[in-house]
Amino acid sequence: MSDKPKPMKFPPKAFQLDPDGENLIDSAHGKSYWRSYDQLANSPEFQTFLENEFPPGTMDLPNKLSRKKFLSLMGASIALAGLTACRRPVEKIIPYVNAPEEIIPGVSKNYASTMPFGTNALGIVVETHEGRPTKIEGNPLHSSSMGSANAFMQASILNLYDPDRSQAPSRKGYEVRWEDFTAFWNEQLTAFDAVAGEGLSLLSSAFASPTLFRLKTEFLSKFPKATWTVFDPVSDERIYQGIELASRQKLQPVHHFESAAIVLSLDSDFLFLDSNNVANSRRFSQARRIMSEKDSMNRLYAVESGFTVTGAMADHRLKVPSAQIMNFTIELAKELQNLGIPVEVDLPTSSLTVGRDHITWIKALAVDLATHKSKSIVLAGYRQPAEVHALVFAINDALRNNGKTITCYHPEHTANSSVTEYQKLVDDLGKGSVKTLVILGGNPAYTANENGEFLKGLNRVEHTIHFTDRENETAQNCEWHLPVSHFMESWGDAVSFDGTLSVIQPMIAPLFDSHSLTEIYSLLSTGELTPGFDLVQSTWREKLISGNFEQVWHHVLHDGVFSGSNYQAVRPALKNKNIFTKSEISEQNLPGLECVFIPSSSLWDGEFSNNSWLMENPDPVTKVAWDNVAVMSHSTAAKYHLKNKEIAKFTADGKSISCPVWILPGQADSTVTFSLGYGRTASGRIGNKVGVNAYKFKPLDSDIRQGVRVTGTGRFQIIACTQDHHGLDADKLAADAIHKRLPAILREASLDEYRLNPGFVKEVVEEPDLFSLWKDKSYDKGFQWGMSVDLNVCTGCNACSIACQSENNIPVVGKDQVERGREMAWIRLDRYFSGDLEDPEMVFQPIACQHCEMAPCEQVCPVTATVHTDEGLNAMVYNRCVGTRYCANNCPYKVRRYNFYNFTKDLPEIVKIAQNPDVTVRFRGVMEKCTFCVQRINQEKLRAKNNHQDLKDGDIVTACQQTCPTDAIVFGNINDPDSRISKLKKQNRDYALLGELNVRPRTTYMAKIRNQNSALNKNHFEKHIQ
Amino acid sequence: MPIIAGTAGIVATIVVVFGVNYFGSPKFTDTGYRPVQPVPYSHKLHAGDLGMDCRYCHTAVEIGAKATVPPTQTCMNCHVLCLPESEKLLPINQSWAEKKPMEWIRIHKIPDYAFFDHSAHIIRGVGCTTCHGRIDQMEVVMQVQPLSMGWCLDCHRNPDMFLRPLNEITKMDWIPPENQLLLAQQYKIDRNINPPTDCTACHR
Amino acid sequence: MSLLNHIPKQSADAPLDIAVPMFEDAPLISGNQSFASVTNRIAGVVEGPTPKMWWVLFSFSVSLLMVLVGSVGFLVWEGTGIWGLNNPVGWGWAIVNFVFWVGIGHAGTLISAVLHLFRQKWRTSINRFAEAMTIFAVICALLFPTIHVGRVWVLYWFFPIPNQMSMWPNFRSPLLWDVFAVSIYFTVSLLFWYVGLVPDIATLRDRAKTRAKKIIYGILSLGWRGANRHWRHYELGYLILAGLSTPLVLSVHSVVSTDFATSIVPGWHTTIFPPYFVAGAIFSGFAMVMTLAIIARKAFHMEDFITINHLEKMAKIIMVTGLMVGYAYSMEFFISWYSGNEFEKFAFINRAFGPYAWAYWIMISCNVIIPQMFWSKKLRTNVAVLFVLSIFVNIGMWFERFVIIASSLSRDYLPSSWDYYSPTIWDISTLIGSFGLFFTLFLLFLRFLPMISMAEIKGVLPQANPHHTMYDKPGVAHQSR
Repeated sequence: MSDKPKPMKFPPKAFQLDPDGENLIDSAHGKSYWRSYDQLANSPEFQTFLENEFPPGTMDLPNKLSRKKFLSLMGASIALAGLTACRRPVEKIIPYVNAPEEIIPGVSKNYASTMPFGTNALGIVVETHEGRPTKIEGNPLHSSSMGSANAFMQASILNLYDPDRSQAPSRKGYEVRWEDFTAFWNEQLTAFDAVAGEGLSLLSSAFASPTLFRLKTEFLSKFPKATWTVFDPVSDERIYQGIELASRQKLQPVHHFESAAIVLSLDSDFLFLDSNNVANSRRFSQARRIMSEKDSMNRLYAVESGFTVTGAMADHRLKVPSAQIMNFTIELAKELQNLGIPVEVDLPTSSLTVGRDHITWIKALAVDLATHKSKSIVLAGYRQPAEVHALVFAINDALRNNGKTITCYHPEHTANSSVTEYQKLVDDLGKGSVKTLVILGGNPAYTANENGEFLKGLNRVEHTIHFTDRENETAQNCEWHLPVSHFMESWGDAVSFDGTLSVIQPMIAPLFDSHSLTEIYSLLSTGELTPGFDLVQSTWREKLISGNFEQVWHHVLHDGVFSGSNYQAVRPALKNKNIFTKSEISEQNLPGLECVFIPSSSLWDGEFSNNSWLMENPDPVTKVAWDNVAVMSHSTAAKYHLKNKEIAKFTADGKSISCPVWILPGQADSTVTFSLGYGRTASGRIGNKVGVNAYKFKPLDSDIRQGVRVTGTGRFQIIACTQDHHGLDADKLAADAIHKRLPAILREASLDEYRLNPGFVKEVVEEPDLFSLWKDKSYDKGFQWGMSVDLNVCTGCNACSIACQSENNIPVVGKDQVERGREMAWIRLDRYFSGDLEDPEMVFQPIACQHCEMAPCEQVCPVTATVHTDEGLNAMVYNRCVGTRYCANNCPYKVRRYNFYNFTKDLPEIVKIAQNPDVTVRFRGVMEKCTFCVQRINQEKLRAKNNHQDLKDGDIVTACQQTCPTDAIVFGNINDPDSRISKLKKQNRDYALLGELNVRPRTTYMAKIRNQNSALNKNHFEKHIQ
Repeated sequence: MPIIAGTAGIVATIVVVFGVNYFGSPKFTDTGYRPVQPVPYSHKLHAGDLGMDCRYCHTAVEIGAKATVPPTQTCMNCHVLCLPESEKLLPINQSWAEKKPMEWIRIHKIPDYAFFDHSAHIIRGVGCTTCHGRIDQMEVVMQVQPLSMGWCLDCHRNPDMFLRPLNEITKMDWIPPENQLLLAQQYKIDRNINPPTDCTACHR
Repeated sequence: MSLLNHIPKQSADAPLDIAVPMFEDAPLISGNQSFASVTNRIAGVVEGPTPKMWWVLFSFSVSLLMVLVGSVGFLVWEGTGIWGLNNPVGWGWAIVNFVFWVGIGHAGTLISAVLHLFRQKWRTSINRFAEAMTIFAVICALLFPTIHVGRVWVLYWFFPIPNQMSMWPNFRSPLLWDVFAVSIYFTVSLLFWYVGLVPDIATLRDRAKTRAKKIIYGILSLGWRGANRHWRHYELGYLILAGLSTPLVLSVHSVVSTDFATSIVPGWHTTIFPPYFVAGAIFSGFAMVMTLAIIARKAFHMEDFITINHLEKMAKIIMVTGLMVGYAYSMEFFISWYSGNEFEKFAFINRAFGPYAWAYWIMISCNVIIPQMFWSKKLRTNVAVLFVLSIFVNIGMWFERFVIIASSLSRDYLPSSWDYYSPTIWDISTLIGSFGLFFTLFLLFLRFLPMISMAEIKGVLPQANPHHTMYDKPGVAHQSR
């Protein structure tokens, strides 16, 4: 952050004039920037992005000469002719008429705001240039983001500039004005006033917001007979149910991993695909990070069916089908009881097929938990049934973790999703008892249309009104469609899990003819459009802020949080002994497979399915982009004679789904994992017809489907995978090579091994004493930039690569190009498996340009387009690059990315606004790569110098470092002995990747340590596979 | 005959190389660029005769990368009172009335892959005239320096002759005193001036 | 014009007299040839009516050339993305073809210069079109590095031209050495070829019927009159040029090999590359000369001038260089094993047994195994066999470059970025097109310039020997003393 967050008095006008006429993207072409929405609407770019001309799933690939290209050529030639005529293209400077005081052209401003995420609120800081939001970062003052942002938060800026958002309200497909709707709605209101809202139903997504909650209650008090259903396809509903079942209270748990020595995760991906993953990761890493062999670190046990990021971090991982997690938990509870831990629940007789390793595993785990009372955490994933969560609550209660490592709160201002209510609504629709249905966000026609009942019912409703950001599957079946503003265009407020209140302040006026949810909620009860600003303020004035309102309000806007607003923790006790209705839990393995449905690591529940950054961001585990796959283990695939990438047909209960198979080591046998959010038909040019819609196969009330039969079709599908499956298939040659190399590439030891031999890192490869043919350049003066990556805390969550993409204008290339191995990510996450094929460990390694002091790329560039700066940066000068690709060949880390085409050429004008004006947009035919965010370095140096200050350690923060939820990446001046970076590099875990090549990388890694239970210890230097 | 051919060839190459090198360079193509602006705004009058300081209009020059061309508002500050009816001011008045921005024609332009920062130079004591010439004598502004990479580097390699006292930054008729080189050494120390010549200084 | 006056008078027992044929085991020129008949036969080809066959071949190769123009046009239009390149494999067919063509370009100069310095008379029949082949091959070679870059329009940055950016090229980069090495080689070869042509062009000028031909050949022949002075200068100049170009034969491909040898990619980073590349170049070069010679002598009935004797000599050279290349292959393996470097070891095992094994074994069989057939005199004197084998060798040498580039790049240090490279239709069309360019130029040469050096042929005729008793009579081919 260049400067502290500031409050914003008024949202700047949309598309502020660019004061120096510098089109943020390419002023080289002398294009003057379009000025207003109207002008935009008439501009040809706008027209082209209105008509959806892109082949779905792929960007427009220039493999054929399209009409557009021909025209562009003609244009070009004319332009050239013009050039010869006049001396140079005329370029305009367009200043403001009336300059807004807080905007200095060319100087970025940061504002604090909040991103609502289900019933959670994620504090963000938004960087804006001339009133255009360009980057999202975490708000350090906010308890649920703690300065970090995950991939979804980072990428949500692209949703703002999504050209496929609806531009205006429509009725029955015809464009209308908001006035038409308000008129219509007022009629409805008067009609429903008479009957107290009988026959009026509302369906909204879950939210946690004082203002929305106030408006909801107001509405329901006005229309007592109306029904308001809350539903999300992916929600923590069962967690709440479970806790309520055990404690008889509605509670919101928050886990404090920083103070837990032992963590047991039961089918929970709390570090990644979880509603609070940023805070979880931050807290977890605090207890994970070690500075020397003397430090202690937490121990993570993971019991899960599919391989998750959390499972990769685990010190001990046990693969158990999701449906058997309950049995496992019961077994564990019994074991704990045997150890004298009072788990006061009547446990049913369960029959988990416990192999010998299971027994030892559970015993060791139980002992570990028992010996770490009130210093451990047991948590279960939202997929698990309420009983499991209840039992987990009981276990934590018995271990005295509740109140210590787990705090519970009474959530306020929240509306939680409920499947049962949703099913009831669907029944009502079917009965035809609903006259008017208002859908506030969400996309039930896509996510929750089991057996097509929802749509059937929808047809029986007189008036259907749908508020959402785009004409999605549901909107297409509704009478009214009304665009909802992006959260960065709207006033609102939100409350995070721990009750921290924060305000959503707009960064830009609505790009299209849309209104914020706040405004819409009030419209529903009042029938008129009130400015969101007033609505939010009145809530806060009346309910939340006592005392000097203006002053506090100012602070809230400035900091992005209402400090001290978080809930009081409650100490719930176990109130219910008989959680389990049945006295016996049968072993859950029905014949056939178990299918588990998880939110996509790229698209979550489908909300982000038109987001090209996320779409191209490979899944951390499978490394597959632009598709969802049916993940299964080797033996399962073998059992059903399925090959990798073969399209298999899964059938159960008269439903079926066809999806390409993806073989993954570590997947529990007879368990298949599907990612939700794909197979959209009305998402937009990116998301349409990509992957398969797993919702069609998912039971509405559960995320697990059992008794699934599968047959191969013999047809194969092209899958864009950024990291090939060497060694998994027959390629023994490659596999062996990887076994040999991996211990050196990714150095790893168990905590005990590390303590026995703190210098193990240096012993992995012998480095001959290295010398250079060239005269060594000395780097002992001034700033010397370097980076350190702590593999011990890196979870491989991809946040860094999206942050980099956002900061450095990295183009999206499309499925075809990714499949050809041309993805552009400057920082990639290499994923390796180690151990045996069926039950391996997984490790991640973020790799960006290592800024070698003796860079092989620099020596071979014929035109000195890549050279070393005095500060030790490996500079890449795009405008000097000729594109021989020699540097890429000679880069041992293969981090250099080449613009095979002009990838930004077909970018819709509106998407270009998201680009960072401080970074050159690369042309085709030039090489690019990580620059250590040189633009940030320069700006900070300049700022310090202009203010006659010294640059302090930590002033310069690279995009990846800034966003890393586990703080694994550290950047700084290695020449300063007191800097954090040089302290880290002095550690005995520090090693240079491929250091034996004498390229002297400036980025070094810190070996991964697994804190293994000696009772279950595994040796680490065994054969590795990828 | 071969001798003639040979020499002719060599001569030809030399002519071509240096011809391109000279006529292709901004020194030839860009300097002297003097477009007609929508309003015949005279820097000679305002900056010269009236002696207004550059920073009255180009406000951000000390703060940010861009010197910024003033909003219509700035013109109106004075021109509501002075010559409100003038023919020449018609576009300004229109812009003010219709709230439509002026469209000035850019003169000093560097490519978009080169990042220049005004504040960095102003605060180190590189005056306006060093790059923009005697604006105060220009009825119509024109480009006087090539603004080419080589030209930038010349100064970055040896800035001594172009550093001045900070209070004379906008002084139009500043000329280096006899002891300039001595002063420059002092400036460099005081203002911590070490002009970067790395590529990343401008290209990123 | 008389050819006598250029033959120095000297004693008969001077064994190294250039005019006197060397000790020969067989006549260099068969058939009853006199000075006049030589001129008639060779110049006849140029002056006579264009054969139908020529038109057929020409139109075919021109259409191939059009394919090249199309592919290159589309390439510049769209970008290098139309090729099959990907992230680990930054160089594909373009560079393979470059090295391939440069290699071909070697034989010409070798034959002309080195054999000239060693007084190998038998070269006289083949040197002319060998040199022509060199020049055309180098033109094809130069094409590829030019078009394979991302931004062709700024290629002039490769050359040290003073500019307003005050930027210079990076003299540490092997690619820059390439630029100099290849361009120098091209210039010298061109000069060498042209100088050699001058007397023959003069002959054509004197025999020309039409005015246009008179003028064109007149200009090209630089006023050659065959005066004694002219010949003296000519011989000297030719000798000097031969001396100049001899080191180039070695330098060019050595420099090209440094593109690979100086980089750290396993499989490239080996010191054996320069000699290994030169050997390979001569190997492929001679194979190509063989191919063309066989076609030419058949098409224009030049059996008298390009005798089986010549072909056999070339076959021997091919076999020898083939053995050298084979030695290099085995040595690479030994060194990689001996170095104990995991990456190196894998690079070569991967070559032989990895995803590119198929290419590797094509290379081995074409370059090492098949040429062994030349041990038998029966085979190496059989024109048909020679023709087929020479083509096999060319294929093999193309695959050698492909294996070196593709297999090494596709699997280097970090397994995470390993990927497989396969060409697209555009890679293929560009390669085919380059042959179009080559043959178009070559056919034009055959049509408009004497394909065999008349002057030098006459120099090895028995009549050229002053002691030849009755050289006004059609002489019998001279048996050496």
